[in-house]
Amino acid sequence: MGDFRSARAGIAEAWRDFRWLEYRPFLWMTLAELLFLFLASNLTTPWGMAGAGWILRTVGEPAVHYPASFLYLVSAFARVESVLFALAGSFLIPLSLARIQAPMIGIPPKGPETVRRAWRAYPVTLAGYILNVALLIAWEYLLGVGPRRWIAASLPAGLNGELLIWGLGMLVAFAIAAVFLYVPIRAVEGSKFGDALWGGIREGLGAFGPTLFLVLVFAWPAMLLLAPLQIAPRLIVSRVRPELTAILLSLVAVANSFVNYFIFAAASRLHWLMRDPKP
Amino acid sequence: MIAPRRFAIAFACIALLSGCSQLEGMATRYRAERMVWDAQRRETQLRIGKQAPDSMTLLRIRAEYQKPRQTFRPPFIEGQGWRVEKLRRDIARQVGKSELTASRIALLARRPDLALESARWVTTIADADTGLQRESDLATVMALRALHRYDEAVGIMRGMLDRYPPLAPRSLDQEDAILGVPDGIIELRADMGDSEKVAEERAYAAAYYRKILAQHPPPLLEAQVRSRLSRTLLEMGDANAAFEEVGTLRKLAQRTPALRSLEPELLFTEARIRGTQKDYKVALAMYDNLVRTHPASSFAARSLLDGAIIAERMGDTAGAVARYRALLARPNIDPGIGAVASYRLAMVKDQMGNWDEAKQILESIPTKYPKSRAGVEAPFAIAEHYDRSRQPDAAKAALLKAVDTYRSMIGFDTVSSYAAVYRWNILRAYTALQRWQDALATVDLMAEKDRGAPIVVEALFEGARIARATGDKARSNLYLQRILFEYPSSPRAAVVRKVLEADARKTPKP
Repeated sequence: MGDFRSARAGIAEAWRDFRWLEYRPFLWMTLAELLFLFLASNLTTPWGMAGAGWILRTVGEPAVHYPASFLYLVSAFARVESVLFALAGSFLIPLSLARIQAPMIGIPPKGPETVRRAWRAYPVTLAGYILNVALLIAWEYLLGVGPRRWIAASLPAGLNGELLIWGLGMLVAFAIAAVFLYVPIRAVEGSKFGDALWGGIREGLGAFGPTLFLVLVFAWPAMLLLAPLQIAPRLIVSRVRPELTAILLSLVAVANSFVNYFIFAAASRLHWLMRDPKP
Repeated sequence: MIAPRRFAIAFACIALLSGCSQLEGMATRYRAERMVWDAQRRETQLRIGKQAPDSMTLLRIRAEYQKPRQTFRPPFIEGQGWRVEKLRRDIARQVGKSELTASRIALLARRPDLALESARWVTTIADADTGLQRESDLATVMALRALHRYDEAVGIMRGMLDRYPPLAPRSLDQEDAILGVPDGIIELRADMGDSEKVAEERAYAAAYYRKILAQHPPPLLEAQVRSRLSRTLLEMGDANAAFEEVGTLRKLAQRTPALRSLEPELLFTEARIRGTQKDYKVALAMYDNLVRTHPASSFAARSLLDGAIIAERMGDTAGAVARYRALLARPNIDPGIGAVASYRLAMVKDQMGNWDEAKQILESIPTKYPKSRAGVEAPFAIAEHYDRSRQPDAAKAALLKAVDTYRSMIGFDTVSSYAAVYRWNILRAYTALQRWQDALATVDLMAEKDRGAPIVVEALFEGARIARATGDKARSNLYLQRILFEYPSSPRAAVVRKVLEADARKTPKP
């Protein structure tokens, strides 16, 4: 219960102490995502095709045709987001964390030391992210061969079954993310590669309940936006308007940037509270 | 400052790449696809709440489908190379298909002239795209049929046979649509009531099938062509040649495992040949055997029909009735077979003295099978029964009812090739009723609406006869002159010329 109380305190503090400077690294990634969505929504122009066409094509040839491009956009966006988080996020997330931690250790948040700490954390953050993604892919596979079939067999085909499968998929994905959340936090503190990676995973497993709790508290609004795109993309494309997919994904991107910032800010505070528990 | 510089470099790359003709082509194709999708969406919106949209709505829908043609002009994109060529073909296909939809909708809006223009435009952009060319040719044929330019339609269909060799199917369930074109031509001529041309087209179809067989096609295609050839030969009355083809087909089926499903068709054709050779007992036994051994096959239905006709010929009316009833009780019956079975069942019932049931069946045929010869003849058959049984008032009432039936059938589908036949029958009914003015008004209507159809020559000739009999010689000559001007190659033309020349000699010179 004590950990959950700390998690609640971390959530409240992260929410209250929002700082533009700390959030800005997440904004850079969001801008790149929005740029991709803008280009993907303008495939009627050669520059749109040049900018987003080749990425969309990695999902399949129909992704550069109308209206299928919007159907494949969700997958292509997920790929862009993954690559961005791996390559840029491995520096930008530690940078944000270093800025969050700067006042606690008494260094200026914009100083060169903060940037150095972020660069130092790059390899272990990247390794943690790759492990996270690998586990997610494995879970997606297991979901397909196991629970998806059982649910489909036990529930009549329709929205309820789809919603249950999607909910289960998301819950486990969040649980995996919760385990890896402390890897960049420890890396920014200056821990060595092995200590940051395995120590971070151990910490994530140790504080699994409160961490998952704070992840769910912040992530649910973005999930509400993402749900229709992942459950019924064909419905949006065929019955409403294909372009709505890009609009919803833009909202998801913006919401996600704040969600990620708040999750890392709250986890960072929870990490500190767990390390130096107050009497 | 690093990030903005990288963004600038990325933008420069994008700007550079966007100059490529391939990207330009991909973007153009995407725009075309979006325009077609928007047109489909607009069509759905415009059709909401309208089961049968009026011509105005249909023309608005057509305008939506014409937007790609108006926006993208051939050659659609600049540049060379196989990738650009492929994109060009893709765009042409998008624009062409949209324009063909516009053509189809123009037909529904009773504007075959617009439909023809659209179809012909697609032909000009189809280039090496055989699929699009075939579709545009088919659309042209449909438009020409609606314009009653039957000879041109047949010309294009024959051209299609030369241009598009049939493709070998993967299984017997599939068949290249081009193989159905010769039968389509025969059907068109039959609809026009031109038996001489029907015989000509059958001979042409047989020659076409033989030409394909001479090229040694793969077994599945060979089987499909031989099957069509044997059927055509049988319709031409050449039972021996048909029998020979069936024999070859049977040998082919025996050595090709994929052709085992041909058995019912082979049995049916063999039975039919026996029937043509007047070997009725054997034919009937073969038909009955087919119905017993392959009850689910479509050939079982045809065997029931042919078996019933043979039973009629053998004087076994009970057997004939039983077979017609068994056929009509089958689910999803082919309308062509159903119409004939119903009509013949009514005739048998009439012969058996059960006129009430016969009449009931005859009255139901035009509604159930409007586009069939039986549907056209059924209302007249009722009047003819009353004529035979010397009930003039009932015959008169039946003729008036027939006129109403034909009018409602025209109302259902005004562009159908059957519309001319319905009007011809209205003319027959008015003539039988001696309502001369109504009959002449129908002749005038046919001369305008069905211009080009061979049956119009008969209508004009009949009109000339009626006008002459009622003392309106000027009108009679007008009809005859129209035959000469508009149908100079019709079989009636020679007789008409003689009549007009004789008239001119009789007329005193001033």
